[in-house]
Amino acid sequence: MSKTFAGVVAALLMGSTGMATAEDEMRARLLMLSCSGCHGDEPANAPLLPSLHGRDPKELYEMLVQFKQGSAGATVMNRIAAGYSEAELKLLADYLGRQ
Amino acid sequence: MKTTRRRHLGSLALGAGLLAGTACSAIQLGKSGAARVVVVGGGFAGASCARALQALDENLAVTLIEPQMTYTACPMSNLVLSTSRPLAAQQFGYGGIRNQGVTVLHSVVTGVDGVARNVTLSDGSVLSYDRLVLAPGISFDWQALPGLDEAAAQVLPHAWRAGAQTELLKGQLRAMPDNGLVVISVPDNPYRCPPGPYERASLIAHYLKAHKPRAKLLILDAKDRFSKQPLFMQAWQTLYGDMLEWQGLSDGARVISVDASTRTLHTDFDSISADVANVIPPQRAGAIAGIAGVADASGWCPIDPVTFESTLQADIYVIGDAAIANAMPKSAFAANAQAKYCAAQIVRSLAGLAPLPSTLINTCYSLARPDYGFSVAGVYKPAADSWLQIEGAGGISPLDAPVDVREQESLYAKAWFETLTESVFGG
Repeated sequence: MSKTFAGVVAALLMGSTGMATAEDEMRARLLMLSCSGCHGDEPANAPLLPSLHGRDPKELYEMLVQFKQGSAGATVMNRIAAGYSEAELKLLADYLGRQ
Repeated sequence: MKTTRRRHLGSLALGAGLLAGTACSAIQLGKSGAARVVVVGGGFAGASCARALQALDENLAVTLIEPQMTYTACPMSNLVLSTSRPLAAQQFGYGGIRNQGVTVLHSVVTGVDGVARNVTLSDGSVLSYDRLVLAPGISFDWQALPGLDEAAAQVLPHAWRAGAQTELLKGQLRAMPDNGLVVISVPDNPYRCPPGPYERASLIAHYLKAHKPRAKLLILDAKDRFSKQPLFMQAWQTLYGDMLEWQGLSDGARVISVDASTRTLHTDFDSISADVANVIPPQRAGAIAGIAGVADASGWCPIDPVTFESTLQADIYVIGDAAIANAMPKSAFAANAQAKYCAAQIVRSLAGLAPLPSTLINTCYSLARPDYGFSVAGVYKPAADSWLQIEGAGGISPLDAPVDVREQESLYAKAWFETLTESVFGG
């Protein structure tokens, strides 16, 4: 299947959030697989930790970058965010903002 | 929080994006010809994978094969040994996974035919598959340590597979003399849960300090370095003082044989008689890995890092503790992450799409006391032939963290367990 067709399928299924390309969506969802280990794969699944779903993407991105730079207080997130590029963090934040 | 509806793994559902083109897979395969994926082993790896596969594509025919009706989780089971936490808090059924649409069979796989692509169950029935996932966890190598076999483990419990062994060790700890000696024998790497023996030592010391303050705990280690070592050493000194002693390989502490009849552990230089001896056996992949031909001479299973497909057998994937995932440790967190990642790659493969490499995380918490926790984290990427840790990321909790941070990490440890078990077994 061509990338273009995949993009059309994804855009159709994403409805009004169709600004993201299908490939970005795929990459974000794969990146998210590990995050959900602690944060849950649905908002209700992790009542004791901050939910990542439905957050303001800009705010979330800024927070993740601060974790990456070590400038925000954290127990473990600073060590984790350091493993991601800013582009990957942006991808994740934008994706989570759409949930 | 319990829900009965099917999970979509955070909208990992069919066609919603992760797989993009896989909306077409049902069309290509035809509904009646839905692809069959068999998952063997219902622990954190296998149960997570079966559930993720079904969430990704509800048309897949996913079968999970697991002998036990109830899964007993290892993480947090050291609290069962040392506190009033009941074993039942570690136990989970397969109802939520059934509700997801997975067929769960409580049976044992006795044969795998990688050419005909089927598995044989203990009742003689044969199940065909398009893709097979093996998540057998660990088995104990009863030949590796002279004197230690399954019968001896009834006297020298390992408690490295939670359940009856956990209760056995707990009972021995409670019954031993007030000035008794507890010895924990730790094998060389690799084994399930690298920091686990040291968390166990900590929490047993926590129990002893409250109930048998004249008792001692000695760790006999087959290696000189271990996971989160500076954090454990610091916590032991602060919390338990002389009660707890660790000796490593260079101290001559490697256990080379045991005698269950006298509860004696023999090292290179010494013989130590214990009141309670927790002998953690050397390990390898679960038995089905040998049957399926996916284990190499090391006893563990080499994989293609990008997909977790066995490098020894086509269309068979190995995830969790049994897999050689290089820098990724054998942990429940890693098993869950690998399982979901592998499920995505399998669904892509069934749809004729190329694998899509991504990054995985591991985060492992340890408790030095029920309210004193710390963590090790790692971020990993698949290279051509191994999972590599990303430089500059991960590492252990800071040594100079104040006590409220230790308490916070102990709460995160418990929160992680609740979230993980709810997402894998809940619903």
